Amino acid sequence: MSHYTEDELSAYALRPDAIEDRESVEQHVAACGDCRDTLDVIEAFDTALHDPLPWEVAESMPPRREAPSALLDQARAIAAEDTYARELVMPLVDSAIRFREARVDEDPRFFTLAVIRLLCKVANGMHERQPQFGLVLADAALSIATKLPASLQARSAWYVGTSWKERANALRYLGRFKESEEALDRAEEAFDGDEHVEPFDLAIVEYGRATLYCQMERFDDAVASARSAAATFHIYGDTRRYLSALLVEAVGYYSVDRDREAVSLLERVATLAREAGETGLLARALANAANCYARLGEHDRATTYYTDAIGVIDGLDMPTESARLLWAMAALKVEQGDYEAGLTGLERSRIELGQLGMANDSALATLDLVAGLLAADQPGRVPELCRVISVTFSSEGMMRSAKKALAYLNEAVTSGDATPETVRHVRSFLEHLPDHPHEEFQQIQ
Amino acid sequence: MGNPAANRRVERVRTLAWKRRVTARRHLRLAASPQVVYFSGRSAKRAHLWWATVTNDQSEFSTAHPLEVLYREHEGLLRSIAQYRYRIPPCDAEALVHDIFASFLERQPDAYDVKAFLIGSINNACKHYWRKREREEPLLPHHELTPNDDEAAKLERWALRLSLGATLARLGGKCSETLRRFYLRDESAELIAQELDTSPAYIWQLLSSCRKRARQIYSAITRSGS
Repeated sequence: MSHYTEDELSAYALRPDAIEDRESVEQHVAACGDCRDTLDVIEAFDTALHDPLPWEVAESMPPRREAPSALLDQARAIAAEDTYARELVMPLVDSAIRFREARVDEDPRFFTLAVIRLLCKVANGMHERQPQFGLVLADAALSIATKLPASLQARSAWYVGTSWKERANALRYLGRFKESEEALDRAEEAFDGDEHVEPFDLAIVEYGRATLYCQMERFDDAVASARSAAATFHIYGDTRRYLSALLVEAVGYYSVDRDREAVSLLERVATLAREAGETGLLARALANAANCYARLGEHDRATTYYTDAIGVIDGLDMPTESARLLWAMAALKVEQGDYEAGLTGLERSRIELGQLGMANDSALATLDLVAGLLAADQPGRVPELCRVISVTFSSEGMMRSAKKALAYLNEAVTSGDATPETVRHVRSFLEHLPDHPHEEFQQIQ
Repeated sequence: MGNPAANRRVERVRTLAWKRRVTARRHLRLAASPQVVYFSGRSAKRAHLWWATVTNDQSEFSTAHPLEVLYREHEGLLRSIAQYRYRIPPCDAEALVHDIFASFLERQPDAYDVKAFLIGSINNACKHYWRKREREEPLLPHHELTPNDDEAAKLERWALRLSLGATLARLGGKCSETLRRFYLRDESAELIAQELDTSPAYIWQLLSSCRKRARQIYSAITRSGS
């Protein structure tokens, strides 16, 4: 079906009576979604021209203004300060030792707002790789903030807030959650004390709280913080942060077994992420939705979402995430009773995870395989696989309680008493052990 | 076996080392391990969904968004929001817009959509302006909404009306005048033609081309980040 051009539809919208083949246009538009959409936009625009406000605005608005010289001067001054700060700071930050030795917070040359801003920026990019160094950088920024000349102190609230926020980020990565929360409180306090409080800054603090609360397993707080942050990010048009905050909100629901709320939010995130071309967030939303549906027992939907997620992840060239999704999908097949495909998939996954250096995940996938083999009544390879798991955990520096759990499993396998539930119990314990290192293993009663 | 205190120390070192390795791997992947339903069951309280840890929130302003371009593109819209949505006197509106740009320069936020960020910022500044003058003139209820989807939609509608204002300001005099008479004053093409001493056909043609031009300008103005 050929479409009408925008000009043709515009002519129709302006003067339908003057169109020779008016009836054909109307029939086509009634049946063609694309042309209907184009015509809707044209008609909405024409309707908006009846509104007096835009005309009033137009009258008072000179076509365009150039930036005033005061702002241009400020931009130049900031650029010069940034350049100087970079010259001072950047040679020091490629090595934590060199940075520490430089004692920048004792050298007045570094006592500028631009240096604080730059230190925070460098810290921000450092947390993921070297959180301990990120913390040193944030603390240096905080220390400098207390030593600024009086003229700069008055303008320093936002800088102090940003430094606290970076300290909080570093502490979160280091697993020092309580201190991280305190740092976020200080960040909020500092931002609130600024003359020009920007809700966007406060929303970033709130988002930090949401992720922190997830790690602290305070899921209700995580939901509240994530929701609040998302609302502000939405207002500032920050789609990436908005969707990220919604993802955290969904994690909060999922973690307290509110799977339906989680999955509905995740589907919304997936739709918006797809529209915005945010493929990383799309992949996460799809994978999470798959996990939710799997837990809800809706296996077909879970499979569809896993497949979709794997497709997106493959496009992002993230082999580790792809391997983990294939693992989850194989486990789902076993759950569905499709032992042939499921066990083959788990075998492939445990090898692939091992090849990617994900020893811990590989061992967990092997445990999944063990339980699957027991469920399928194929126990032949189980003792051999259990030995592999013991070796893996030993080389990872296994702790005493993990040894106890694996010994329990080996004993059950040797005596022929092992069941899928036994393996599930041990696996669940081992999986959560890094987050609960002091937990003692309890046998199934 | 052996010295219990020493054994405890060794165990502790192992615990920390294992935990550190696992934690480091998680952070590199930006995701927790997948929920494998068959084995974890509903009793597992720990979240195993993935989330994006967006901590990167600063950027290089000077290279990414030259002030001259930003100012030329958005100053008019921001000032209109202050004047027309919030009824702030013109000279104060101008000062607020100046402050918004000054703050943007200094803080260098990593804005996903610069225009939307600046609009969010001017909305906040305008609310703050009226809060400070509460005794003189209280804030209207629609200014005081807490952030939610509804307010975001309202702000968007306002921004679109103001963008249309900016569009009309950029249109040429003849186009602007013809559209105004036809749409705002509801004058017919025949009447406009008569007053301009020309043919109605010419006016229809003019209306057609001016609308097209206006849509193009509007589209350029409202395009993200422009």
